[in-house]
Amino acid sequence: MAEKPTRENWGSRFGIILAVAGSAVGLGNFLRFPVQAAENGGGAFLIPYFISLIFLGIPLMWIEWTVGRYGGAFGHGTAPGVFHSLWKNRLIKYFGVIGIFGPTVILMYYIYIESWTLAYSFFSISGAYAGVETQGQMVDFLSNYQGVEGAGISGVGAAFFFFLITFVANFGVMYYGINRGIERFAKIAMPILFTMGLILAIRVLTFGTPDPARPDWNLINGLGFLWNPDFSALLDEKVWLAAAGQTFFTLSVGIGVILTYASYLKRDEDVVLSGLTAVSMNTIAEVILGASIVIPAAFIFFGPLEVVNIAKGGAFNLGFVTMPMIFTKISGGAIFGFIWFFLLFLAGVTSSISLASPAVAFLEDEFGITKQEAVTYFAIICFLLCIPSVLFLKHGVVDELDFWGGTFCLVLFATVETILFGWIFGIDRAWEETHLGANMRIPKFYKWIIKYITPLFLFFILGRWLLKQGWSTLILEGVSDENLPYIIWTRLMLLGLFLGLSILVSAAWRKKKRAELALEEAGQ
Amino acid sequence: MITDTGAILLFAQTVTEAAGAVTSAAAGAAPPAAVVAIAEAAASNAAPLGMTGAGWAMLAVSWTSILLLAAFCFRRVFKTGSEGQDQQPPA
Repeated sequence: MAEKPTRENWGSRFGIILAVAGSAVGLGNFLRFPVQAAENGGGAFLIPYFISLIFLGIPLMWIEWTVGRYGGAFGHGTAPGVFHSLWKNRLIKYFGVIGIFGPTVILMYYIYIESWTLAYSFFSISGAYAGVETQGQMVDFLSNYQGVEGAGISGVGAAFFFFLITFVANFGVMYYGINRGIERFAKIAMPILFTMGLILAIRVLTFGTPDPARPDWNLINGLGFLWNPDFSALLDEKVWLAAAGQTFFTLSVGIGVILTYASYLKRDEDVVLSGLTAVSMNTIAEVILGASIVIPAAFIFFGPLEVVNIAKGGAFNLGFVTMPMIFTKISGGAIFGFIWFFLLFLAGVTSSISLASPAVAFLEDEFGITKQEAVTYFAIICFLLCIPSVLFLKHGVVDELDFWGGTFCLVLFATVETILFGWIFGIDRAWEETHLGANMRIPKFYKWIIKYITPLFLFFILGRWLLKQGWSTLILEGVSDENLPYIIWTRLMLLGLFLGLSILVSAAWRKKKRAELALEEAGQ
Repeated sequence: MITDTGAILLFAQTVTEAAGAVTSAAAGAAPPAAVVAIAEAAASNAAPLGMTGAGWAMLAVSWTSILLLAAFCFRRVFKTGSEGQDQQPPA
């Protein structure tokens, strides 16, 4: 195999572990997980969660690290090339397009949401929401900031300003490349993120009973609300699917970003222990820190009745309405508010950088341009692609992007990748490849899990979606007349993006073929 | 990493409704049926206040297993170092 000496490498093993953990630790760890646990059996939710982690999350993590490192040795850092390295089929590279398309689609709204956390960090310190007294007013505050109502503190202007800062920060880090940019940033951001999470968790766990008039609204009851297991929930299929979804989505697997990060590994660098370490960091952030902050805090300040209501409102309700309300009620709230939102901002940036990586790596690897050129070109395209999320949030554009990029493509890509790895590349070769340079051996039963259980799990999730929601989603059932044109335009834009990427893949392979022919002719 | 963005707009509606329900309840009006259902669910959820033995057990087992896994991984990462490999690939 011909190795490309020009490809970058990670400077240290700890660097890539932190970068992958940073990609996995995102807003979902602190906002989505506690809501999912509270709604799906409390402590009992951890049983399907850990089972899914063992049978789905960890195997997928190892698969992505391994195929990424394997493809990187052929000079490919993205799924089209990596898939083609695994299977010399002329069509497989087009399936790999999902591994660039999916992260790009998520990026189209993720940076915007991330920018809210930066804005709220600023609002916390400046006391912008300090005078807000009710949840309704806090919702208005957020709506005004987003420009959903078309008026307010500064309409879309303020939101756009913070979006620009966030956008520049993301691509600024990327501009410096893998080693000096992403790795260096992860080494600074991740320790800060965990320290901030620990400070907040300790603060919440020392709240005690802040309102003596309501002695039941205390920490122990708040923890009980989240952790007391309702084992009858384990008989509900939805709880198992929610747990599988959570472990799957939280690890950033099945999307192509870890594959890209792993492609910058040296050929004989360990993937088994590093992958498992990244999983353990993500799980600490989720189950220990994430579960110790929002739900207990919301319970202590709003009581059992309201916390259910809040949880039903979704993860964003907790993050952008409930938490700021709590910060207005505690001493040092401005500081803790800043810590909370900046923690989310760091979690967001480390994730969005990884989402941008496949597209940048694709331009760099397949068209032979420099990292800086690739970052610049992609930044321009990405900026234009992000605009609909900023301007048409209230018309359901973000939900539509999230569905296709953040849900459908993930499951589809993971399914293709797992089949390719365990069946077409072959489980024996795959097993050998995974253990190349490994610092620990994977228990042998995982060979069976990777070949049978993980793909079956994925087929089940995909099939269930197609049967229950697929058709109604495709025919736009439930979309209001007002939002319909926006959703159709969003779909056309996504279709255009997918076709554009497929054309680029085709062009890259033609270019490569011409170069090979020219080389052969020159040799003769 | 994923954000649950599907709830972005829904939550605004839910909280606004909830806030409205509180206001109307304060004014003596009957709360909407949806809010009554949520309240009933909350009451049933909140029945066993405090941490039960099973709750403490779930928390202890989860935290311990996660921390043990992390300790195991980091110990080996630092032991083997950046470039180290203490095992050969399988034959």
